[in-house]
This record gives sequence, structure tokens and C-alpha cells, in this order.
Amino acid sequence: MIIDKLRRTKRKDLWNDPARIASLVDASLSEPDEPLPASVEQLRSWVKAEWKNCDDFQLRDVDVHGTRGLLVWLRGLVDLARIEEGVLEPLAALQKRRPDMQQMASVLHTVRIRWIKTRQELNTAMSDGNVVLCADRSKSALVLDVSKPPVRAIEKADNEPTLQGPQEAFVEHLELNVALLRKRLRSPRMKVESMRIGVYTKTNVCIVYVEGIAKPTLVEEARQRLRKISVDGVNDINKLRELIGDAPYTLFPTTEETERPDRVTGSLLQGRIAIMLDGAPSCMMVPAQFIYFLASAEDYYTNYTLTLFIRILRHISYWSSLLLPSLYVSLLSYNQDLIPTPLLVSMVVQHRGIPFPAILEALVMMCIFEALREAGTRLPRAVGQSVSIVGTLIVGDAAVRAGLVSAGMVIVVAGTGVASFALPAYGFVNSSRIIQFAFVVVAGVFGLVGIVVLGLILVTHLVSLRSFGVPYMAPIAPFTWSDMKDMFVRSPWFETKRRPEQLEPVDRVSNRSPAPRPPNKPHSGEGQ
Amino acid sequence: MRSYLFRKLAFFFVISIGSLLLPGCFDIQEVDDLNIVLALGIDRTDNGLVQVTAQLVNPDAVPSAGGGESGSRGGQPFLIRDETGRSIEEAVEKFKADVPHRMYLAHNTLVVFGCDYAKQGLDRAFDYFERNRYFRRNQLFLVTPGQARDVLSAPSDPEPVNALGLRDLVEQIGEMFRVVDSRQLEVMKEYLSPSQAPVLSLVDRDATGHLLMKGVAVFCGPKMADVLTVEETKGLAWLLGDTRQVDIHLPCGSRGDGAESAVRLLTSRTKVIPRFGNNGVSFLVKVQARAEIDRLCPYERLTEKTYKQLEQKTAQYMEQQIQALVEKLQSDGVDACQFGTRLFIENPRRWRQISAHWPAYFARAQVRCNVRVHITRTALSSNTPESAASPNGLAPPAGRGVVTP
Repeated sequence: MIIDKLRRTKRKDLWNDPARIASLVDASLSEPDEPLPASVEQLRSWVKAEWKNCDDFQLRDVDVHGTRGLLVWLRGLVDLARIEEGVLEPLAALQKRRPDMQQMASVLHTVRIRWIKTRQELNTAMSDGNVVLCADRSKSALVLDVSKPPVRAIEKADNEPTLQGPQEAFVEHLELNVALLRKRLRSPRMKVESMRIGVYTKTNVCIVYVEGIAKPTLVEEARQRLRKISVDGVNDINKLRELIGDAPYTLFPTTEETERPDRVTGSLLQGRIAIMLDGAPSCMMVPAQFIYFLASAEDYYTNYTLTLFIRILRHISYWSSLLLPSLYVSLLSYNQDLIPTPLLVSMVVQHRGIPFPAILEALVMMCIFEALREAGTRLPRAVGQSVSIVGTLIVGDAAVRAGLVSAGMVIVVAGTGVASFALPAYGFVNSSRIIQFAFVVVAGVFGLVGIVVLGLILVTHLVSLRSFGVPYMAPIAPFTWSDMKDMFVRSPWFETKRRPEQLEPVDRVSNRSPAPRPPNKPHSGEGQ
Repeated sequence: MRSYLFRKLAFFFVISIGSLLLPGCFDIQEVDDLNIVLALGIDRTDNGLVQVTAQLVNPDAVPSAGGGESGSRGGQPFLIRDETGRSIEEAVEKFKADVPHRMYLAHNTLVVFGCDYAKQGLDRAFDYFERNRYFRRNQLFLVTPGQARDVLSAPSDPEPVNALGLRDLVEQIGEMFRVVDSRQLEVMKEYLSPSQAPVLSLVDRDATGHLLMKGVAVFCGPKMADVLTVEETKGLAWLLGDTRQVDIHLPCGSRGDGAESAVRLLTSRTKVIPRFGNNGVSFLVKVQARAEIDRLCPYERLTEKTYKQLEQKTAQYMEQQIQALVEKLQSDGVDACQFGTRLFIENPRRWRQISAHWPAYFARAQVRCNVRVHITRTALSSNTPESAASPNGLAPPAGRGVVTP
């Protein structure tokens, strides 16, 4: 039957109508929008057939003074005490004979109730952890929210730690995450639009934005992109990101992820939008520009004077994490004339007797370093420490003593690692981890010329990228002078009057407070 | 869509494989396959051939901060190899035959010409060093009265590498007057200027075999003509341009038993005004200098009068030095003071008329000096200690109300 339907549908139409695909491959056996049967008996047989072989499926008949009713729910997702107190007890205490659904609903002690009419909705409501109450002579069923899904407690942001500023991090529960945002943006202007993604998982996905700041076409673009998704399920924000990203084959992330609600509210107020997913402890922010990955939340929580220094340091470390090993290789293998004479002499001394060419030495060292880094990340914390000790001791010292690698190469590779650790965005660092290998190979083959050419290709690629329509290198290319206030330096808050121009916010001005200054006249001290 | 991606990937694959196999790595030179040449010495052998001496870094003996395995083997931190050929190019080519590893010339810091070779003319050497793409134009051209080979093998403690020590010596003197800082670029500029008189620094070994900066060698065109001592070089420097921190020693006269006072010229500025006259050319050399007192004659009190006297004596001394130097250059027939260039700048047309007979004009050129020295300070003490000492135990003069300037 499904194949017949598929035959009748053109491929192009399918592409534009994900709902259709979803209906074709949906797990539920029934027609999706078929109404609920009116009698409890029919409903019971249907629901039992539908949830056959599901051991967590629970069903209970109730008799409310002559009206037969049916309660269905899934074990583990609901709070049984709340069913007793909020549903069963009030129904038992109902005085009326043969009450209808409306009367039953009015006495229930459950806060959130909602009416549904179709079988599809019933299935979804049960999967969400609700209890569904059906009764005779009623075409609609009542969804009672008594869910108690397993939730982790809110903890500190482990992956993006800061010394100062808020410390809360998102958890795997969407409602809680939205609440964390709402706690910081207490305005009805903050809009939360949710939709379901995933044919089987039916995961809740939210688009969060601030109306009156975020550009409306940007929000519409996000909606469109999310609507096109038709997959079995989304587990993590990364799957979503790969499905809606602008440049699917690029190494650079075109969306930003964070686990810090304070960061999300900050970017919402800049005019960006956030996409959140149930079950993911992080939030995606779009559009994402190159410079956002070099800014840390800490920048905004410490004094702006320090940020000036730290940001410049970070820009330097980014480029050195890309280029340092390759520059070293090219200087060692091709362009020795560019090194000052005493340094060259000391490099020759270091490199004497080492059997490998510089390129091979660099590649081996970088691979070992990456392996160590990977080992340190995946292992349990206690073992991880010993890995790093073994790594530094064996790879660093013993390899030099054994004359396999030069001390300079160890310093360069370690320096590259440290430089990449200095960058706050993890996904962004991963891109430079890969690109640095390309640079080393090119340096080993073509020398400095190769580095320059590959650097040009890299820059060309960077400026050609876009994230949700906004150029990736935005305040630099195309250049916007006013956005330089939060670029290599962060100007103090009283100077930052406008939101980033490249996001084209509806309301461009974010700060109308005057610059702080001493009062015009010193306190006269009259009356003393 | 998939085929497009595949085509793209295949394209990149072919490009990368091609770049690895076809042209890549063709000029790779690993750093440990290099002989870093730090200095070249060029001598003339008795049978008229050119002997090129190369000073190479000896990586086994270079002292490094880490110590470690290298550096402990001892020996000199540099090696000396030489080759003989009919020209410099031929001799340098010969290194390939009997020195393992490639000769890497890009880090050559200096070239020392032996006296015999320099007297014969440097023009062939200029051609080689200007043409070769490896040499840097900031390498020093030096002359030695003896053999270049001897200078290059002399110890230069505390700097372990001879060439770097030699360069240091020249640059230390060069801080006072730039004329001794004879980089290739400067030498070529002087050689190509209307005066055609390059000036190269003169280095030698002292009695103990250590390196020594001896003055400058003046060239007439490409050929070495004469040698100036460091004292005479001061005169040349005042004629040529600005100087810094030059010491001048002045005899004290009758009271001092041969003692000297000394004045340090902090800066001096020179202006040479050339004039075309009816019978030859004349030059007015105006030097303005600021100075401080380095040493006073014994028992001398610093008063306005002594200040004035010192200034006058210094100016006189400088004028004498300049005049003596000009006479020497005139008798040598070398326009190392760049008078010809100054005439050319002043009036190119007139210069072209007389340029053919310039040596004759130069020999008859009249030079007048006008030196003004202004002593601005006395360093940390104004009087000599023996003039302030009081056998009666009196307080210092300033404390007794004695007015000191």
C-alpha cells in the first residue's frame, strides 16, 4: 500500500512536503487523522492493538458514577501519585450521576489539560508522558499532564567554564531549558515556537527569538529549514545542525552551540535566534559568525580593559594553531634564509642526527599529539591524567633524547596544542585541528609559497561562507566600522550602543543610557 | 548531485597526488644538510689565482644553552675550508667537490678581502656578489692588511663564532660613525657614485692573535689606495656626515705633565658647501657638535673660561684633523670624502664639465673648516676631585658659598 502511494507521488513533491513522507512512513498503524472512536470498548481494542507488545503501556478502566471511562498512559513517564490525587480521587468524589467529559474535566485537580480528537494525537500525548482519559459518548479525549520525565539536575557549565558570571548550564529537558531562558528574559516579546521533528522520535524543537529585535525573515528562514527535515529522529543538536547548516561540506561551523543560558540570552538580545532541542543539553544559535567563536562568555563578565588583551591573544593563538607547525616545517625545509643567523645555527644543532625530514617529523608528532588529546578526552578522568603524564614524559622528553624528533619540533607542536586550547569554542577548534595538517603537508611540499596559497584559499573560502544569509566573516568582510566595538576589543558597555549591524535587527539601538561621569558640580556640602 | 561531489573529490585527489609527485619537493633542502657559510675570505695567491676561504658553522661544537649531547664534543665552533681557482665563482664551485653537504650562502655575514686582492681591484668580486641571488646585500665587505684566511681563523672571544664577533666589532665602531659600517649596499653605492671611492673597514689580528678593528681602507675606484687609522677615520667621518659619541683627547699643556683632558662629542652635524670657482673648486665644511666633558685636566676648576677654552680647543683639534685628512686624501688622489658627489648634487651640469679632470681638480681643491663645538654638560661631577679636596678639612666649595658655575 505504501509503495503504491509512493508511486503516485512524484519525487519533487515529496521533497517539498515532508509531512507527506512522514505520513507514509509513520510507525502508527492507523490512518493519522482518523477520529477517536466514540465508545470505550472500541477505543480499548484499538489502543491495545496499537500498543501491542509494549510492556510499559498501562490501561485502567474507571467507572465514574455510571459513565465508563478509560485511562491510558506509559509507565515510568508519569507520576502515579499525581494520577491518584489529581485524577482518580476527584472523579470518585464527583457527585453527579452519569457525568459527561466536560463535567469530569471541571473537577480534575490536574493543572494542564487539553482536548484531542484524533488517534495520532493520542499516541503523541501518551509518548510525551501524559495520561489520556476517554469516556463513553465523547468524541474527544482529555490529555492530563502528570508527566514526570527523568531529568538531570541543573549543574555548572562544564564545557564552557568561566570564573565570573552565571554558572548554570542547560540540561536534557526542553521545558527546563526554556524556563532557564525565560528566567533571564522576562518579557512576552521572547517567543518560543515549537515543532516536532523526527518520524519516530517526535522530538520537540523550539525556535526562540525576541520579537522586535530579531529580523523576521531570519525567523521565517529558520522555520522553513526546520520544516524541511524529515528523519527518523534527532538525538542531538549536531544532527539538526548538519541538516540545516548553510555550507554542508565546510570544516567551519556555521552555527554556534552553547550550554550556557546566559550566552543564549545575550545573543537573543543581539538579534540572533536560538534553536533548542528536547534531549540536548545545548542550544544552537544562528546566524554564527567567525568572530563569535573567538569570543568567550568571560569576555563580557570581566573588565573590558582585560578583554582587549585576551581577545588579541586569542586571535593570535587561533592563527598560530593553524600555521605554527607548517611555518616551522617550511622554514626548516625550504626557507632557511628567512631565519636570523643565530637561530638557524641553533636549529641546525638541534636537528643534527635526526633521521627524518622535518615534514615527517611534524606529521608524526602532530598525530601523536592528537592521539593523546583524544585519549585524554575519552578516558575516565583518573586515567586521563596518567595518560597526559605518560604523553608528556615519553613523547616529549624521551623522543628528544632518543634523537627521533628535535626539541624544537616538540616545542612547536606543544605550542600549537596550547594555542588551540586557548580558544573557547570547541567545535571551532576542531576545524583548525584538521586544517593544520593540510597546511603542514603543503608546507612540506611547496614551502612558504604553498602556505601562502593555501592561506589565500582558506580566506577565500571563509569569506564565501554564509550563515543564515549573513556573511561568515561579517564585521570584517563586509566591513562595518561600528561593529568593531565588539571585535578585536570589547568597548565598555556604555560605549556599546548598537546591536551588530550584520544581523539587521529590527531595533538597532540596544543601549540608551548615558556614559557614566562625575556630577557637574561637586557636592557643595551646604547645610553642614 | 552525488556525481558532482564525486567529480569534485576526484579533482582534488588528482591535484594533490599530482602536486606531490610532479613538482613538489624539488627544491627541498633539509636544515641538517646545509653548511651554513658565515664568512667568505678572498685572497690572491702568489701565482695570481683566487683563494676563497669559507667559514662554516660546526654544529657539533656550537655552544647551546641546553648543553646536551651537542656542544660537548669540543673543537672550534666553526670550520675553515678553502679552495683556489681562477675566479671566485670557480673556487666556490669547487667546494661542491670536497665539502659534504651543500654550501648555503644566504647567511653569509661578511666578506674579507686580503690586501693583495684588494690592491688588484675588487670589481670582479663586486660583480659576483651583486649577481648571485643567495647573498644578502647587508653583508659586510672588509679588508685586512694580511691574508683573509688568517683573520677568519682568529679567535674572537667571548663570541664563539668568528664571523659574528667580527661583525660585532665593526658594528660597535659603526655606532660612532657609519662610514666604517661597510655593508655591500653602502660600498656599491659609494662605488657607483661620482666620487667612485668606496671605503671598507679594515680588520686585522693584534699581537696576541685576536681580532682588531684597525680603521678603514680607502679605494680609488675598485683598487685599494690607502689605509686610515681609527683616529684618521674620525676626521673622515666629520667630513662625511653625522657622528655620535666620538671621544676626543686633548693635551693639557704645561701644568698637566702629559695628562689629557677628554671631550665626548654627543652628536655632530656636518654641512659641506661646495663652490665652483674660476680656478678650481673649494669647499666649506661646517661642523656643529654638541659635547660633554669626559675628563678634566688635574686641578682644573670648571669655570666659564675653561668651558670656552675647552670648546675652542676641541674645535681646533677637529679642524686640524679634518685638514690633515683632506691633505692625505689629496696626496693619495682618493676622493673618499665624497666631494665629487657633493659637487654633482650641487650642479650636475658643471660637474659633468669637470668630471673628466676631477683628480686634478680634487688635488687642488681648497677646503675651509668651520667647526663649532658646544659643551652642554659635565657628566656627573663638575670639578676634579683633587681640586675640591681640602687639606684643612673645609666643607666642599659649594657649602662654603663659593660660587661654582
